[in-house]
Order: sequence, then structure tokens, then C-alpha cells
Amino acid sequence: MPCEEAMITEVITVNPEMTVEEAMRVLDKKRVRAVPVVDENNILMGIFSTQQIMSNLLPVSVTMEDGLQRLNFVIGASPGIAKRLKKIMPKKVKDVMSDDVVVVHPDTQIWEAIRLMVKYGSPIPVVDEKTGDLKGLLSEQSAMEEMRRLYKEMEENGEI
Amino acid sequence: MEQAQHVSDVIFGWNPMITAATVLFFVYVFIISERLNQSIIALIGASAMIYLGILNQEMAIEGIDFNTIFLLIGMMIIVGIMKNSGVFQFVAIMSAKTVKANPRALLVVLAWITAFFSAMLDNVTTVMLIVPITLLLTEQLKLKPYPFLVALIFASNVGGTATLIGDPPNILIGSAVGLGFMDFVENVGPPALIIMIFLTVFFDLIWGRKMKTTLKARAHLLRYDPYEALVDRELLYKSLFVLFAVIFGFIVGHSHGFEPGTVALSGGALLMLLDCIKFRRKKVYWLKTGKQTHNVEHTFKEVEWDTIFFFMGLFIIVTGVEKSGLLAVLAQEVLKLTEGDLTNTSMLILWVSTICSAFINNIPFVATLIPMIQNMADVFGGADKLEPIWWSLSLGACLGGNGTLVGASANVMVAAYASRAGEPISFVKFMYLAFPLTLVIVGISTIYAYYVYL
Repeated sequence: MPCEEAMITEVITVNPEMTVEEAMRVLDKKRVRAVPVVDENNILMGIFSTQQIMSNLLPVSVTMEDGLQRLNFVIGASPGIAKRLKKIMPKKVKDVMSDDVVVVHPDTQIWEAIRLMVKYGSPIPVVDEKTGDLKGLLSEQSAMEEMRRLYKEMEENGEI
Repeated sequence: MEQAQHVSDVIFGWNPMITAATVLFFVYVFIISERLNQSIIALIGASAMIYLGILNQEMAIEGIDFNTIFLLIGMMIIVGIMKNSGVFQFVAIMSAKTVKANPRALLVVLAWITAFFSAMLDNVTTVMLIVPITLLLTEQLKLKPYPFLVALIFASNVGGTATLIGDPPNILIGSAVGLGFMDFVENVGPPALIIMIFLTVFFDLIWGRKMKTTLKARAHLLRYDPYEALVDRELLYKSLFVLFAVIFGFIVGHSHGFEPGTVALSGGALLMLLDCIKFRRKKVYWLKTGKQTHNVEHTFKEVEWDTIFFFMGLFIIVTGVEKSGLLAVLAQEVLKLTEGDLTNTSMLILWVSTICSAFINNIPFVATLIPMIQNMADVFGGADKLEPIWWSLSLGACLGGNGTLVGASANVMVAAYASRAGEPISFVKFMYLAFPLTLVIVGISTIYAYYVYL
């Protein structure tokens, strides 16, 4: 089964020029953790997620390659973290989003897509292989839903 | 006699000296161009020495200084295990608290910590562990990291100069000439110490005394709990025990005929053994063999095999060049230039190695120079008369690395961290300060060398 059968087609997206504050409101309102970032031509630019905000709260000495492995020796940091969050709010989505995104194509097989979700996390944008046009979004929920629909169908047909 | 026998072996009857020189030349060109990984260049150069008939495999393997190789591997194993204990962060945070997060004092203590660890361990590993915590501390104190990072570069190279194991040129010299741990501490230790004091004052003058931070930021830093940074206290005690045992072994072993390679590698094995034992409530537990294997495999992965093979390849290349007679000719030329005078020769070596080390990797340079200098023994009346030249080579090669951002691997590592942290160090800006400063500290070494060694 190709991915396009299991993906969500009506995808909530955000614009790269939006502020983080506006984008976070979208996440809150739609009760999702991650949304694709697309430009005016519906081309995928990156992913904006609560995880991205979290990693922006960390000091660069931790997030950089071969950085510090722990921070438990820092005590009483919460006012500082709150300040950092406030500083991120007016930034643009394109400066905070992750642009190193794992994607699948509409014809990618579902097992491969599930493997990618297990390894890199959900959701995974489904994009056109040539244009980078966002076609849909594959999430753990949408994949599972499709599998449930499938086994019900098989039960009805007496296959299992 | 061996040399004459090999002249006929070189393919197409080429002149062995010119053939070897050509290989060496291309190895240097590729290393300087930085387009190709150094380990690949060294291994291909080494293979060329064999295929061209300058060496056969037996001679090539004989040319590898396994004392150096074992010393490097042993120390890499020890530091690979030791760094998991969190000791570097612990020491950095502890000292930041001791100086009450005063930025001026912090610059001094971080530099001296780096110098101390670099003297005992390899420079690159030291800065890899000190730089991230330095970046965190400077961020918390709202200070520019640049002065700290530059101070760390100088401190690691100067600290590395002070001991046999501090910097690869010293390992190479010590191993080839048979100089011991204490020989280095007594001869290059004092100038390194003088230079560190000079640098401390200098950095304080240009940066430290002008550094300002808020009381609030300092108060925040004072709440850090360094003991939380100690990931594994038991491991720390084990690794410190082994590190001191190894250094003790270097000192005592030298007069009993145990070479540093043996001491370091057995120390590495001892620490891996201790790593398989856990002490809990006064009882001793052995890890299951599966877990042991996992730990040991992990430890061996931490060994920088690319560096090890870079050294092996270089040793073979230099052996080929030496066997071809090229280095003996070069030695004669140098002696002609210095009129066979020990003072002139030492000074020439000191300054040429400084300038070269500022721009190219000092390891191939020192590896080539060692046999060349050994060829001068007769002129100066025996191998033991060469000592001032060895110290000059050590000081020049180690300190010269400060001259530019690419002068030593530690510099490159610090620069990489700086750009990852969004505070890149510019090559030109660094050189503008570091090159003249390097000339000054080598000037100090020159005076020291003149009055003490000569």
C-alpha cells in the first residue's frame, strides 16, 4: 500500500514568515504537536513543532555537535528558561523550524513509512518527489486508522 | 651498506634519493593543501615507498616506532574512559565557583586548567571537554566567548609543551631519542611555565581586566552544583588512579628500561579491567562478559585510529626518506649553514620549526626532522650532545602551533566549536593577535634556550 492512501490530505500548515507566537497558537488550537511549514506555493520548507521550541530553550553548548551531555548541575534555571521562551516568541517560524526533515513520497510503501516514523518520529510530510509540493501528512494516527480500516474490510470479506 | 644495496632495488633504476624526496614532497603538498584526509595521504605515501622499491615491507614495519604508537593508543584508551566520569565539567564548575564567578579570574583559572590537563592528556580531547562548559559559563555570565577560546588555544598548546605526553612532537622526540618523562618536565617544563605566566598576565591586560558581568549572573552561576556534573565518581577514582600510576610508571620506568609505550598501554588495559568491576556496598561485582565486551568495544572505538594510522604511514615515509640518504644530505646542508655550531643549529631549528608549525601540521615536520638531526651526532661529538637541539625542536614545534588557527589540531577543534556556537573565530583576526604573540613566546623560549641549554 502506498502512503497516499493512509495520509491526511487536509493538512494544517504554517507560513515561514509567521511569528513563533502565532504558530504556537495554531498548534494549541488544533491540538497538534507538529505542523509542516510551507511557502506560498505549498512547497515544504520544514517542520515546526513543540520539540523545536524545546531545543531552542537549551543553551547552544548543549545542542551543538559534541556539546555538553548533561545540565543537571545547573540549579535554579527556570526564570532564565522562561526568559528564553519569551525571546523566541517574536522570532519567525523559519528561524526556529527544523529544515532537516525526513519526508516520504505519495508512492512510498506504508511499511517503509512506518519504519521511518518509528525511527524518526511522527508526523512525516508526504511530498511530491520532483517539486517538493506538500501532498499530505502521515501520522501514527492516520497510519493506524488506515490499518484498522483495512482489517475490518478483510474481516467483512471473510479473509481473516 | 644497506643503503647501497637499495640503490639497485628502486624501480627503473631511478635515483633513490630523488624518488624518496618526490614522495615526501607530494605528501607535504597534499597535507598542506588540506584537500585530502591526512591518514589517506600518509598511507598512500607509505605504500608508494614500498612499491617504488625504496623499502620492502619488512623494513617499512621496522620503521614504525611502536613505542609511540602504543603510547598514543594507551593514552587514548585512558582518556576515552576517563572522560565519561564528567571530571572536566566538575573541575571547570568547581573552579568557577571558587573564584566566585568573577570573569577576570575565570579567564585565568580556565586557562590554567586547560594547560594542566593538556600536559597530562592529549590537547584535542582536553579542549573538546573544556570548550562546551566554557561556552555555557560565558553564556551565563553574558560574556563574549572569544577571549576565553583564544586563551584556551594558547593554554592547551603551551601546557602540551611541558611534558613527554603533552603533545605529539614530544612523544616523537622522546621515543626516538630515549628522553624520559622527567627529562621533559625539567627541560621544557620551566619555559612552558614561564610562558603560561606571561600569557596569563598578557590576556588579563588585554581582556581580563575589562570584563564585566552582572552580580545577578554571577549569583546564578554560584548556584551550580559541580557534584551533579560528576557522572560516575567511582569511574573518576579509577581513572585518576590509573592516570597517576601511568605517570609514575613513566618516571620510574625510564631508568628501569620500561618504555612509555609499555606503561601507557598496560595502563589502558588496567583501566579497562577496572571498568569491568563495580564496587557496591563494600562488595565487588564483575560485569557479565557480554557487558564487558560491550564496554571494551566502546572503548576501542574511542581510540582515534585515523591518527594512529597517520603516524604509522608517516613513520614509513620518513624511514624511506632516511634510507635513501636524503636526510643525511640535508643535515650536511644545515650544518654548512650554521657552520657546525651547536648554538646556531639549535636557534635555526627552534625558529624554523616555529614558523613551519604555525602553518602545517607539526607531526610530519618533526617526524622528518628527528632522523635528520640524528645524522648530525658525529659533528657535535655524540648523540648525547644533541640535547639542546631536541629541546629547541620541541619548543618550536609545540609553541609554533599557536601562530595560526590551523597551526595545531586543538586550534582547529576550538574553532569548530566556536562556529557551532555561532561565534566563529576569524582566521585573519586570530592570526593578527596570535602570530606576533607566538613570536614573543618563542622569543622567551629563545632566551631560555640560550642561557640554560647552551
